[in-house]
Amino acid sequence: MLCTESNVRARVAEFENRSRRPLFPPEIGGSAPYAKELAHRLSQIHSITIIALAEYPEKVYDVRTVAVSKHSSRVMRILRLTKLLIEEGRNADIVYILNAASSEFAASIVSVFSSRPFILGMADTHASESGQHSFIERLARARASFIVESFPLRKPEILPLEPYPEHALNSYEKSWAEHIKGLETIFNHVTH
Amino acid sequence: MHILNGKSTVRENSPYLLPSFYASAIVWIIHSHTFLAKRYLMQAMTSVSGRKLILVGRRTIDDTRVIIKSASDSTGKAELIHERTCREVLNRIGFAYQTFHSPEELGSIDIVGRTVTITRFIEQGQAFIERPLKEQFNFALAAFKAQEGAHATTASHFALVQKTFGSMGAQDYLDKFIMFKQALEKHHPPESDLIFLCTRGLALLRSNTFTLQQYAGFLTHIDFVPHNFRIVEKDIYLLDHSSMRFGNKYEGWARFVNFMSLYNPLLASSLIQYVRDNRTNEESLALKLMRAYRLGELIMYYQNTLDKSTGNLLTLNTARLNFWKNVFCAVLDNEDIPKDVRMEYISLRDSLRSDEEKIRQQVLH
Repeated sequence: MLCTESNVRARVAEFENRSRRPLFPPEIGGSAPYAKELAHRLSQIHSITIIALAEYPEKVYDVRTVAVSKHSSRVMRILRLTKLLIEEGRNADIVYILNAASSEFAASIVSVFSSRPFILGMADTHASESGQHSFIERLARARASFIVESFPLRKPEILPLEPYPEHALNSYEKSWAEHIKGLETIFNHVTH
Repeated sequence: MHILNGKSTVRENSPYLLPSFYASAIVWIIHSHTFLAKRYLMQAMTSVSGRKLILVGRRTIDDTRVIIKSASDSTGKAELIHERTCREVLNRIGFAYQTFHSPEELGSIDIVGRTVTITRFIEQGQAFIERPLKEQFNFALAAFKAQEGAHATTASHFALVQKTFGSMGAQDYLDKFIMFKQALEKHHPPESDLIFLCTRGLALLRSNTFTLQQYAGFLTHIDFVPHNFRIVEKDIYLLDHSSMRFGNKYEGWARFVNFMSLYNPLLASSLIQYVRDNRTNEESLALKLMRAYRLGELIMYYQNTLDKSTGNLLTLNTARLNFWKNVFCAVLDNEDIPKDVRMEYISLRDSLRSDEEKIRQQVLH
């Protein structure tokens, strides 16, 4: 494929925009809260390793976390992420990638050389919307064994001066139970 | 900000009062507009703050209420320029999740050795502290969430904000706290309660540097107290942009919660409870660490005022130092401030303030 100068620039800009949304707490927004909660819940059933694009990721009990510094250049970050995905993926049954340009790109590259199935979770709706039809997202979608597009509810806030949100918390728990059940079905499907 | 009124009986910052020709109304003619103003003198409660003359005035052509800030000393002038730059950059931060409301700037000028900036006065129907508790909580929480929405995580983010806002990491907080402790050690013997508390505070910070750094890189208003913001309908306008920096996520929270432990303990405890119920244990710890840090700074500030005060002001500043020492102790022990300690302090403080000062304080918050 021929890339003109303007095409390259447009892609860089798009990449920058999509990279805005971080992935793991203490970073906020995007898929960060989902990623942490998912790791916590899956760790009750499976052995989990998190590869987080964060300087000082919050700890999840009984879960191993590997941090990828965001203070290096973008190229170095992706190379490190790719290397880690190869290394950690060797011992994993499933690689579950949350959508962000760097992780999608790294997972797509790794999938060329690895037989490990990778699942793409479109948890960051902002990244997904701004990245629609982008080259990286199309590539990741094409390489993924399965794409998860339905997610549990956001955790309702407990406000000290308001009634305890019992109903909302029950719905939240229910949505997570359904989500984990759905993921288990997908995991079984892609590993057999 | 510590806001002062030159006419008050207890001149809370008398060493910094400006020459007497500023004592009455001042007329500034800037950009062909005339502004009539009354004065306040303000100095931020940080070790590096400059002195600023703050004038509340009106633009004569259309009676628009304005805030005129003026400084003649180099630190104060730099602070005004810095504030202006921060205001401009704030709304251009590409990685912020929310935008911030700032008062419109109407003019700025360098005149006879003074730097002057004029911004529109933001009218608010009700003082923050007079609002119902639930409203206070919701507004404060919304303001903190807006600040937290700007999180510098990459080298490119830091390159964008470092020069304008500055940033503080775990080592910076530790170094500064050591400086506070050393300053207090010059006035208090090693076996005193205060130095013992400082030693405990320092040990706490030192043993939790990871947590301090974990929540670094967030935009935070380090002087986030009611007289530094205005509420218009559902929007919060930040007033003192020079107090914004990238630091620990809970630095602004800590200043506000410490302040409210005196003015509205229920609000303070509600905010602490909110963090406990909705955020991680590390975040509750970060709030405690930053409260301890800010209390060390506050105690050092009042210690430094003692040499410059006499009479009622000396009595008041000594009472302030002791009150905040008690708050410091309570924070380190994970306890609430005893009600009688708070009430005794308020009673003494009010007895030492003039009626005029009391009224001004009510309007202030």
